[in-house]
Amino acid sequence: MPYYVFSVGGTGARCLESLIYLCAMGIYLDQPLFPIFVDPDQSNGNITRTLSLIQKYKLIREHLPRPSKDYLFNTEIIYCDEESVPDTRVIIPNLYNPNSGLDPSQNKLSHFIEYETKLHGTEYKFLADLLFSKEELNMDMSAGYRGIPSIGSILMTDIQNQTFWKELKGRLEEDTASRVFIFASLFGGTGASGYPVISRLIKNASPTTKVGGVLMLPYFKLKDPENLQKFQECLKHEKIMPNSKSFMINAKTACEFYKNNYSQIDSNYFLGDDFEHCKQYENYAIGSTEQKNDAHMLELMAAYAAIDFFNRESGNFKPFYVIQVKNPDKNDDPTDVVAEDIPHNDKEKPFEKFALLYHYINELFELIDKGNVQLLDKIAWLRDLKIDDKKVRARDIIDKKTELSSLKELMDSFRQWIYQNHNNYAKLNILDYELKLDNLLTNNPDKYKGYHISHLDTKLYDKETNQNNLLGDMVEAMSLAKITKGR
Amino acid sequence: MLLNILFFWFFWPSIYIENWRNEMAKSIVIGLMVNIIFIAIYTSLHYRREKESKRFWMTFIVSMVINLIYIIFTTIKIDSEMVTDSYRIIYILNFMIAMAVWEFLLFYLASPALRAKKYFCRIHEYILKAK
Repeated sequence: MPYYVFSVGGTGARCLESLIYLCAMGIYLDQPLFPIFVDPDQSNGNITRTLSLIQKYKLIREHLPRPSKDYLFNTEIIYCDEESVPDTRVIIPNLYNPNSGLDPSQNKLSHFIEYETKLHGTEYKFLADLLFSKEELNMDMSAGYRGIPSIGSILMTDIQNQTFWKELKGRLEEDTASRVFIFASLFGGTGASGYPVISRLIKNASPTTKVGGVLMLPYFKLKDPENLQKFQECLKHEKIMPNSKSFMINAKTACEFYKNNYSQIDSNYFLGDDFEHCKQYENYAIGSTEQKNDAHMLELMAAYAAIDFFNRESGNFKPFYVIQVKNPDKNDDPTDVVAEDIPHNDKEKPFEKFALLYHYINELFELIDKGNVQLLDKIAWLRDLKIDDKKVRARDIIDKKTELSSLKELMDSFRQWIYQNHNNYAKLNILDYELKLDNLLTNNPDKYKGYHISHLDTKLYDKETNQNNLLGDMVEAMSLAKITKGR
Repeated sequence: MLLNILFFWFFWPSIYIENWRNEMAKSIVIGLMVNIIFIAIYTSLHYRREKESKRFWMTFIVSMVINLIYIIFTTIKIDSEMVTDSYRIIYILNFMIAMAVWEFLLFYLASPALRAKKYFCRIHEYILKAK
């Protein structure tokens, strides 16, 4: 009975990225997570980044066969790389392209609604003309819906005609503990068109299923597309381009719609930033790999909203939530989000532990790269470790470099993610933006001053691990290590 | 007898035996105390992996040097009537070898209590690695 998470569009993918990091940090979910990306542009940089994170997470999680409730990476993620794997439980795809029914060379709305064929000569053609301009009817949708949700929502409805939808419906009806959560933006194209359609369709398909979602209000700006068209050759012939000038109008209209129509969805979490001051994304791209945007603190809050929704007892839902910075005037910088603002009981502790693991694994890799057998052999907790009843030696650690590298890669991307979260007008100011140990915790900068990460050996020593593989035991030992007030 | 079995393996005084026994017992008590104090100092030092070997050897050597200074001073002060031939040199040599062996053993015995530091204070590890 998994928790299904629909990640719609680029913003959805980045919210899911934050949720994966929270799971990696050991924020507990009592059921496995089943991510479903919904985007017509699956080469979108935001999606590929999140997919790569999921793959690393899964690799690490596979080495943790016996995780406990408070372990890092304790949540199972159901994700399958291959599109169709018979006789496995993954029948519902992790990636869904709402344009999949269209011929790739005819990725246009006119083709989807059969404007030139079926509609020809009927009154519906006039209706289509009334609702959509010529440019919109002939716009290439392979890179998304370019900020026009009215187009996207038509294609999104096609999800109910897919074979997997029946399977999903069946599973949801059968298993009342399953829940569905949707990450989407309210102001763009794909997310804004996906949220209302998918949430409604699920609620109609299985009325007892708890459905919730995050709706992101405008929290970033794009470069002026008209200006860009003058200088960028590749954009010169584009007739419709996403424009952040319309974000607020889109969001306002959508809010009114949700207010009047969405109280039957169990929880709608609304999150937003001061749009006037928010950051402008450096790279402007209609889609594809170039559309790779930095992470934002608000996406982390969206992930916390999902955690809140999944952990909430049935019957304890509110239709609308607004998450805001607590006591903003008390902080030195009122726009910063600090540890006390984290909407979870663990506050900054998971971040602290994960940052320490980042340093520890990097230090260990330095020893491995240098082939420092002598020192590796003296790390007492590793030396006392037994895998297949055989004691671990330095050579074994060096040989397991590939196994450990998935953890190192995930840790490196965590550092980048923290940096990006810090690099906004409203900063996530829990950890140092470069994860420097000397100044690691913003609310207690002296805690790790002069601290050398190898000292963590003392905290990892004597942890009884039983994963029977180096990576799993390392994650388990780190999970068991206590983060104390003092260092 | 116990002193000879545990500590004085090649120093066998043949004159003033009772006096020598007192001297030997006193030196052993002080020598072992120095060793134990330095083990305690090493235990209390902040753990830092790449400096740990150096710290261990420093502790080990400093305690040996203190023991050497102590035994030289003590031996010089011993009444000449109690000393024949090369007694002083053999006494010092035996004491130092015994203290080195005992420090090695004490560190080994204390190593489980040293937790993360335990493999840094087992001298045989260094010998095996050097081979």
